[in-house]
Amino acid sequence: MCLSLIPIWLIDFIGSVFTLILAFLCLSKAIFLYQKDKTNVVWIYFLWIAFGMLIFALSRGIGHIVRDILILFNKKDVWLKLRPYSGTFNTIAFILVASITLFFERIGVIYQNIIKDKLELEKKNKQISEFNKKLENLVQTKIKELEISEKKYRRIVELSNDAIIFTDINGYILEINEIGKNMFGYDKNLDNNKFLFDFFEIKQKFFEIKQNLLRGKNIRNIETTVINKKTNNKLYVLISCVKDSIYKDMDYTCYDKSFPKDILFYFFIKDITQRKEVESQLLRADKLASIGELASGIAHELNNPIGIILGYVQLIRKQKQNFCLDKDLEIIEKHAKSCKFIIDSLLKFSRKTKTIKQPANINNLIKESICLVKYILDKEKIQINLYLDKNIRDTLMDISKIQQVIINVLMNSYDAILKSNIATKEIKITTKENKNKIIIEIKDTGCGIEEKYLNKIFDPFFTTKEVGKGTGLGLSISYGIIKEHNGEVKVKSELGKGTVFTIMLPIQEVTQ
Amino acid sequence: MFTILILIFIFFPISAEAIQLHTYPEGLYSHQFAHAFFAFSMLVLIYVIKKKKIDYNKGWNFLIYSAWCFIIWNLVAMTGHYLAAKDIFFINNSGKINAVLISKDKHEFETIIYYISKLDHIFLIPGFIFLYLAFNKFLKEN
Repeated sequence: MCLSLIPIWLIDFIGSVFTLILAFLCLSKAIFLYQKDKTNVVWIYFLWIAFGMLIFALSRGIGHIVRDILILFNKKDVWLKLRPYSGTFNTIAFILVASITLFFERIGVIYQNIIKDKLELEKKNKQISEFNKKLENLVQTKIKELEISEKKYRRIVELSNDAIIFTDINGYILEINEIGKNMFGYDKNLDNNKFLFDFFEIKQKFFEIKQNLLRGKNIRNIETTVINKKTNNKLYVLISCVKDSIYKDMDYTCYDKSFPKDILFYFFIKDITQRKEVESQLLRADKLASIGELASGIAHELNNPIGIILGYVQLIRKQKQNFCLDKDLEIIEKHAKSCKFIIDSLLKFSRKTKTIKQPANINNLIKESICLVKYILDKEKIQINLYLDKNIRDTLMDISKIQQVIINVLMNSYDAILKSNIATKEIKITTKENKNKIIIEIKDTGCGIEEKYLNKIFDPFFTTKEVGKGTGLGLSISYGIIKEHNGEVKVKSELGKGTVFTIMLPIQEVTQ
Repeated sequence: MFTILILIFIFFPISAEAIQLHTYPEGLYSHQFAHAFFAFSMLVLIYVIKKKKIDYNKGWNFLIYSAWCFIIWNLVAMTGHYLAAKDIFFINNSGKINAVLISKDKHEFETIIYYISKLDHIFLIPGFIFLYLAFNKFLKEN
């Protein structure tokens, strides 16, 4: 049997070249692996294996390539000299690779432990990840709950009808809701708006509250007065207040540094000005009612005797027998008539005379009333200025009674102007319609009314006029008439500057 | 006495047999042992991978395939070396491109085996390819 050696040489040559290329590629991959993690023993081991394999491939591949080339060029004798060296290197390379490979037993143990630890770590990581996820969900839920809660309480504070104010221990305003801002005319940019006591009419009241709070007492519904800084109006308020120190143990790193770290005061302030007014009106109405009843009784009792006295006096005077007494009788008659007038007025005030309402325009009524008193006013050169809203609707009213009210107020203004030293003698009458109400404003430049009398001017028999000049019933009767029309009368006055009477009448639709 | 003995050995030398000579077959045997050692180490590698159950991914599988290829290649190469040392064929035009292998009588089969064993790269190259694939896989997975 005869076999050509050409296929053997060809495969040997090509195989050797490929072996070398692959050995280099293996080494490059092993180097990349090692560079990825230089502490990984397995990658270090692979690097050694790859080195061993390269030495093996070099010893064998180069030897075989040289042999094939020498044979191709008929240089077998040269190859025969090189052959022992090639074979020896090749043998050493085998042993080297095999020796390195045998190390794998130890590497395997280490790698097994690494894998075990890795799996354990992955398991733990998974558990931690699940735990984290649960925790995250819990935190999210809690945050959501907190957000809702915060929103809810913020809305309560914002929508409250009372002023809610947080201050520090010194009364420095930290937070104030919208109602509070409006109530106090608060402007944080102004210097005298920084502390709550700035708004107290009596500052001492604030410090009393503070002392009580620091003693551990809760303040409930203390009545005091505060001043609106914008309008300068005095407001009656009820103050409730508590001391808090919940922030004492909190971590403040997340808060504004200016946030107080000790004690906070929470103020809840209710504006009771309107209630006070109503109360005062009720009191006045009550007083009027009792005085009215009393007056009515007295008037009835006195009416007859006065009538008899007046009758007899007039009878005696008609007989003309005692000329010497005529002068005295005249005085008696004059004063008896005066008493009769008071009694008639009282009866008028107390008697429930029937109110007959008919459609009328307030502007016309005012003009007619002015005509009646124009002569007196002109005499004192008092100017009347009218600012009447032409669009005011007609309404049902007792014309004569409302006219009486207007004349009463005008006469009061007349008296006040006479008492005043102001050069401008003016009565300004304004009418307007607002929210289904007719508003009549009668403003004079009179002497004004002292504050202490403001609550009394509608009381029967209350007058500041000289004795004999006024009965003190005019404004009481006017008040009664306006109340009969379901209206309101308000008075504002500044001593030495003038008075404003505001009459508000509800519009009652005039039907066919 | 010691001096006398030294002088006797110097002037009347005899064969001491102190150095063992390593003539022709010893180199072949050591080469064959190296092949066997290489194959054995690969077997150990496979055994450890399997025993330690670290063959959980394809990289380790490629490494096992590579080890098997190297084992087969070692066995083939050992067979070739063994048959080459036997007097079963001769080469005509040895060392030339037109050289041919001629079997001696009754040694045709062994000659064919020897011929095949000389094509050992058929097993060696896959061994390297699998080794490359194994390293490549490890690199991708890390």
